[in-house]
Amino acid sequence: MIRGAAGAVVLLLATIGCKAGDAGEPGPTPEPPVRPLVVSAGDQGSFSTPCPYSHSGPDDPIVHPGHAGASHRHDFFGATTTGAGSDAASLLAGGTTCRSVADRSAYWAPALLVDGRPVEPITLQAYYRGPIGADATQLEPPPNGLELLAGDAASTAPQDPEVVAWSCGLTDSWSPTPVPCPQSPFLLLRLRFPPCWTGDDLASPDHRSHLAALAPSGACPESHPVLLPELQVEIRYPPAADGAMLALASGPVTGGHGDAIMAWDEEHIVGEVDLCLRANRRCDVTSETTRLDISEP
Amino acid sequence: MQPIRGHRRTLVATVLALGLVASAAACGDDGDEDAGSGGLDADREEVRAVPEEYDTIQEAVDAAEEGDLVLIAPGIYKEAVTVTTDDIVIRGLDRNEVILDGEHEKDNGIRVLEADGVAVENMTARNYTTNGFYWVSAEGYRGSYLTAHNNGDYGVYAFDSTVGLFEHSYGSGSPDAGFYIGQCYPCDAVIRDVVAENNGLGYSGTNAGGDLYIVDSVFRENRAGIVPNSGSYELYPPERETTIVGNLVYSNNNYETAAIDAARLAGGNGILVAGGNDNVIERNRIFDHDITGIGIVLIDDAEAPGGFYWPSGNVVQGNVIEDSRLADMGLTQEDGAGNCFADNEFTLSAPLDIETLAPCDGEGSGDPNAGALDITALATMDDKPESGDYREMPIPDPQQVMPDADSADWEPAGAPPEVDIEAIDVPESP
Repeated sequence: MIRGAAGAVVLLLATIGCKAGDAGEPGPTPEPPVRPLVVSAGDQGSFSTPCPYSHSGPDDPIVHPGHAGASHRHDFFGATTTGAGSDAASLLAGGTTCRSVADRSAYWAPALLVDGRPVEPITLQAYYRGPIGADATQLEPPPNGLELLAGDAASTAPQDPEVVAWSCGLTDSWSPTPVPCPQSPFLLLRLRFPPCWTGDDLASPDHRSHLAALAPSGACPESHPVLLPELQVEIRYPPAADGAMLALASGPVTGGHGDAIMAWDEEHIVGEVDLCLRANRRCDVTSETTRLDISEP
Repeated sequence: MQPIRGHRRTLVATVLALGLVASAAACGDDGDEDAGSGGLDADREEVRAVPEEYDTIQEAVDAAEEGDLVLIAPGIYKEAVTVTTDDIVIRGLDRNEVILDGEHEKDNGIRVLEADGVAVENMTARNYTTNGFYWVSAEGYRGSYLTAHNNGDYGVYAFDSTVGLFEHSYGSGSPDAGFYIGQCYPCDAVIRDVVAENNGLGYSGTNAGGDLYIVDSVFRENRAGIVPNSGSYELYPPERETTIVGNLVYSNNNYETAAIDAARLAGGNGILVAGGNDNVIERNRIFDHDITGIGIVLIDDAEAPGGFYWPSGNVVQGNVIEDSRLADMGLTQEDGAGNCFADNEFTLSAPLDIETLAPCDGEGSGDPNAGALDITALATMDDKPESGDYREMPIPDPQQVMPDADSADWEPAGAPPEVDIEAIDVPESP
């Protein structure tokens, strides 16, 4: 498949280039780009679905549940009904932009501002996979209603690029903060969510502590013993002009983050975890799928 | 064709008539398992009949063991079937009446997950959000007498798979490719006697090649016809060693199709090699294209050496190309790349006089800048028509059914047939 998605200038004579810190973005100077190790497809099981942009609004059903308009502007993908009052039941009852209509989960991130104006994102690709180093046979399907958060909106320093990373187009070079990418077909935000769950609470007061990262040993910590698929989302934005000022609706570009509420057709997600992840199969490769670039934990 | 794993099943001659099946049951066989499936001996344990014996295709597939035949009676099956068992054959009794329907809600008609040797025959998959027929990470695959239409990504699709055959099949109405083979080297695969129309791309193959043949097929009225291409986002770049011979490629300027952005970009080209190497393009008949009949071009990729995959070593000869608005043959290459053109019937090339500039025998001469290919038409999305809705693409007419589907032997997918390239002539005009 040619990956010209997002208006890529696939066949191009112009010079291509995109370096972290090209120009324009406020905040600290980005760290040098990281180049994660790339593993071959099939080393971990995975399934994925594209979920194009749905809508935007100043709502956050995790941080400000029930309080419409209380949040900074977010871009929503997947569930078409996502708002301040959304929960698993309402999401499952609504529509989805995801190609896999079994996925009615809500995915969202703060709006990207270019020269102070929000830009409409293009699409989101949701990948679910067996975490590197983990025993895939122990994976459980994510429960509906589970709330997930990756990244820290309040961060004023570059975050761990294993959690929050940006790139210009399809490349192995990642930066902890976004740059305009005027010569690339799109700007990409990658977010990785923690895969270990306490097994009881679908949420927690700080929106984080019910989930935890995998330990270096590849096991989940005793406090969070349930191994879930690792969710990785990639959001594509149109490239900005050279010199454009980038920011997030939540604040500085160092505060990249994203959220999700799980809402899957239960039979489908149980089947996909079993068929794809526990058996280490890479199940779905679509026009939008990018090779999973996976760093060692 | 030799099966990989030796599970060939042969029907005995005495089961060629339904009456003899009934006779066998009367002689003490278990007549309860009569598949009601024409002449096949449904008494045999290895025949799994749907819906007579199993309510759904998935149930029959799950019950099947290596070497079994899942035999499907006419009907509309609103299923998404996943196959994980090696060496089974899934056959419809009537290509046009055994219909898997995704109702625009289910993902794939038949998805073969890392199962080797699975053959799918004589049925239709329509209205899936992703693919009609899909093999991933398989060694040995075959799709015969398949119709895939109005599916949301690909029609008939093999990824990360080798040793394959797509034949006597039809794909339409997909925003990506009607037929796709990708991420394989050597692929050891054949596409023959297929028709692709009303797709974003008739054929696409990223990083595919090595004993990969596309022959004796028709690619018409897609946005773009045959598009081998390279990309670092999949394994095994660049695309290389695909042999494209004896195909009818015409009027791939259909801007009404559904189309991913790459298809929008490639629209108006008959055969477009995007950053591929050492492909052979011979004796195809190609006409009526807004940009090029055959285009050999570079493709940008941030991870490629120097930021591009450049075409090299491609051989274009003996084709009949006419009525291309920009150029019948177009080329962008680095010096010494070794792309060559010979014995083609054509009117206009870009650069001019391409067979003198880049001959297949001897040194070339001439000015590569004279009439150079204006790649602008291929390099910008400006004014490219938007995608249509795959759900609204035309419904195809009934297609040729598999002969003797109710009585023919079955065998799992094995090595593809050898292709006698030299025996293939330029096809006649339609």
